[in-house]
Amino acid sequence: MSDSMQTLEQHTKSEYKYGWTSDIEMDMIPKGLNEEVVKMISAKKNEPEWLLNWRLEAFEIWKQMKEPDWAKLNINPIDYQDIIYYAAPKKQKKLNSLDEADPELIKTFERLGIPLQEQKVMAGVAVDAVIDSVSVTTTFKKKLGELGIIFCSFSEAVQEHPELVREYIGSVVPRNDNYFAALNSAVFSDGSFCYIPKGVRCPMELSTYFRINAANTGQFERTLIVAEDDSYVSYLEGCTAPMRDENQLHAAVVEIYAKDRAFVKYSTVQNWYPGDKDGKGGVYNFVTKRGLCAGYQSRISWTQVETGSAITWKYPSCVLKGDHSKGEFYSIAVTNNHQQADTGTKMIHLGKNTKSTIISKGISAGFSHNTYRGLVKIGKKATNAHNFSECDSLLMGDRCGAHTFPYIEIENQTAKVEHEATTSKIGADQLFYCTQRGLSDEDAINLIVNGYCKEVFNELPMEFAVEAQKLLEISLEGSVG
Amino acid sequence: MSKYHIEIPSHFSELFGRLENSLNGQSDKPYHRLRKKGSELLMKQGFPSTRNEDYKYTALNRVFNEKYEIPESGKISAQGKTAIESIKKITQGESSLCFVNGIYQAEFSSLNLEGVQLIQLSQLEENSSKLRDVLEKIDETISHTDNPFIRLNTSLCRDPLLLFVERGVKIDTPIQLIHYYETENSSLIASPQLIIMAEESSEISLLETHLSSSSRNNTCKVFSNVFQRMLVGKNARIKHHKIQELNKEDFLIHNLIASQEKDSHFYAITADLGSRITRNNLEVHLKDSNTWTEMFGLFASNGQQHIDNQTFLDHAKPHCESREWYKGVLGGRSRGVFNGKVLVRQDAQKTNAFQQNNTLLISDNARMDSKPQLEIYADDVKCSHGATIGYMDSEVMFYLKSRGLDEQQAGELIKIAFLAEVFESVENESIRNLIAEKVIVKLRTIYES
Repeated sequence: MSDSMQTLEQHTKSEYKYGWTSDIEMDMIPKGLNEEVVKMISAKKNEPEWLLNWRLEAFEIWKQMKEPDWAKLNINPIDYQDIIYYAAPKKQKKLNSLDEADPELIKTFERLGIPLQEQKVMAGVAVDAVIDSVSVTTTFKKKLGELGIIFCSFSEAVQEHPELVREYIGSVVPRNDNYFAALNSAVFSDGSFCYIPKGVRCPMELSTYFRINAANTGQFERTLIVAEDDSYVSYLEGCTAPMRDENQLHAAVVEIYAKDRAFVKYSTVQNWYPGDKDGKGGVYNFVTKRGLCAGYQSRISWTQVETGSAITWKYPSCVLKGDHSKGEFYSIAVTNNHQQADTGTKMIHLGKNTKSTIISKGISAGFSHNTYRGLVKIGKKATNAHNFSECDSLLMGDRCGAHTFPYIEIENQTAKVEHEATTSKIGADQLFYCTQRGLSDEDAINLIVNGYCKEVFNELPMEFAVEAQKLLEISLEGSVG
Repeated sequence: MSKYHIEIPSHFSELFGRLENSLNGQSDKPYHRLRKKGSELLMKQGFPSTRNEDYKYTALNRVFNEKYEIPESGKISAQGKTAIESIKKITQGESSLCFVNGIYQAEFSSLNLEGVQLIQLSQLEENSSKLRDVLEKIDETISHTDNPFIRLNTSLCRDPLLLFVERGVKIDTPIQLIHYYETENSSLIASPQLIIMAEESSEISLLETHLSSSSRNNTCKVFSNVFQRMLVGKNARIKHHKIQELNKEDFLIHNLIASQEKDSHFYAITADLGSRITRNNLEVHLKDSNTWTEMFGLFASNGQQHIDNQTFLDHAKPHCESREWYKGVLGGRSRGVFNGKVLVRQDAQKTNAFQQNNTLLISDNARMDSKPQLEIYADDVKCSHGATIGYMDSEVMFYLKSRGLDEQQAGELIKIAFLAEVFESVENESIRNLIAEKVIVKLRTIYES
């Protein structure tokens, strides 16, 4: 096994592929957070008064709150006054086609491997690319528009569909929900807005790429997806951030509102900069994601592949309010070196005959800590609710940790709740079997890890699944003890 | 005081002073130093609030708000005597240690086993190494624990009881620990403390029962705050069985810390049937390799009962195996809590740990909160846990009904079979039958209520 240990050493040394900064001129405001900054952000985005007040109230709420300390994370103190809360590329004229976009920016996307142009068009993906707080270009808008689908940046939505934004913003994640949600509500810069009208099946996967570009800017994006009765949408989110030494704060909020028989599928591949081998730098990823199954038979499915970020604090949740509604959570969380992840889900059953499924696969290597923390709550009126949870952890190396903290709260006797979890390492017998069939240690491990994650990969849309598989290989190459 | 604790109410902090005054000059004895230390540490720490993660589902305000008296020793009613005698019959009364309101009663106790020594701490010679040993162990525990109830127990304990099992001594018949509580006009706090040292290759079995008298003023409550420390020596074995049938107004906080040496085996089962609030804090520390630990629990509750099982298993050394299984049936408005934590430290390679919690809810108003936790720092381990909560399987019900059983009979059978998986782990036949008998009676009352 010493051979594979060496391979592990070699590969865990592999550097972050996406670490570089692009020299696009930025429009920034001074460091720090106060009422003026909130007002400035709102003014820059030309926001209506109600939204400014909404932000200011959130700021007041945030000031009253304290940073949460219950997660199994070791966080360097964050100086909220040392962060720039708004940064936008300066050339801000309206773009009609991709050719008009800043060539530097296009290069950025190319280096990221995002086939924003022809390939993407052929792949049939509409991309709303967000670089540091302002949505630069939106493709496919026209085609979506014909169906009545609204897919645009959040700031655009505020200008063009204020009544929708006003109705749904904060309806799933209220401003006082938690510390980071309150912070986001006060200073959110941009994000995506998506509205699927009644009976419409979105014909393509909607996708957003987020990147934190300018040094020292926290990214506070906000995504709002509203799915009307009988609609369907699949939404992809991918993230990369350049390599920087200081920890960058990312506090996002994602809200999904699903009505009767609507189905929203939200997939994330997150590979933000995890810090270097010694745990220096990296992104702090403190995200609040929640979906509300508000109607009869509505369904929300979260799929996430988390390989990046120095610290991940993220619990995509489903509130199953409508009768017969369904929540799903499929997750792969990979941590290496000094990464820390405290992630999981909350399934809150309120309606009758609600169902939820949780499949979580954790992989920890190096000196990292990977925690699954999840809540399954069956309310008093949630008759015949059903939950199935499976949380598996794979340990690679003897300096890492894998933890499972499930919370199960049941108040209805007709509930059926099952939870199981296992922790183990890659078996020597499995490895031996593969290697004696002629596979290298490396390939054998990839094969086994891929098999282990298959259940979650299967939930990802095609292009994402390929990317995710590659990411997994990069993050873990050869990691076995 | 951290934000997870609340200040000790004054009617609690006064108790220590009242005990000190009633000690009649014994307050210069070495144990009193520990009482004092326990009390001081407790004042500093405070009682846990529900913001405390380990007490999230168990609010103890009801326990804290009651005003208690410290029990006087020596008094016992005729009714109590009869009750104790009838419990003794379980093991023909050969070896039984009797506690009334938490205070050891030598005259009702008998222990005549070769190689087993029973001593009250106050009887140990002042400079003996044994006394130093024991005091050191208690001191270490109260200093390092984060459990305030162990400190409370130490500060209010009149005289700890020590049980030494000599090297190689194997005792088959269970030693009974009979806890009986009675009071007339005031609420009582009982603070029994028991330290068991099982030396190399010894084996003992314990049967602990908790029972309280019901003839008293309705408003009076008994709060029993037990602390037990068990040291399982090399290749030694302790089997601990507990049956709790307190009155429906009483409180029990049962704190047990066991530590295991190389090749040792520790088995614990708790059957909680009575009380208003029960909280079991069971902690096992594995000090050396190749140990075997089993923790079992069953509970059946109705009315306003609240049964909380907290377990902590510290796998610190390699090649250890543990198995944990808690099952419960909840009726009425009762609540159940399971919070089990398995910690596998970096050195504990080849650990094999299994943890499971299954609950049947048989009433609309019952509630179960379960938190099986794994914290793992070693890679070559096999750890798993599972939890299920649900109603009786309708297919099983149908099968039994199709065989001619009516709904009630079928339901009873399903519930008994459900809990039987736990109590069938008891090796001793008479104890197993006793638990079965009590469980069946209790399940019947749940059904009827």
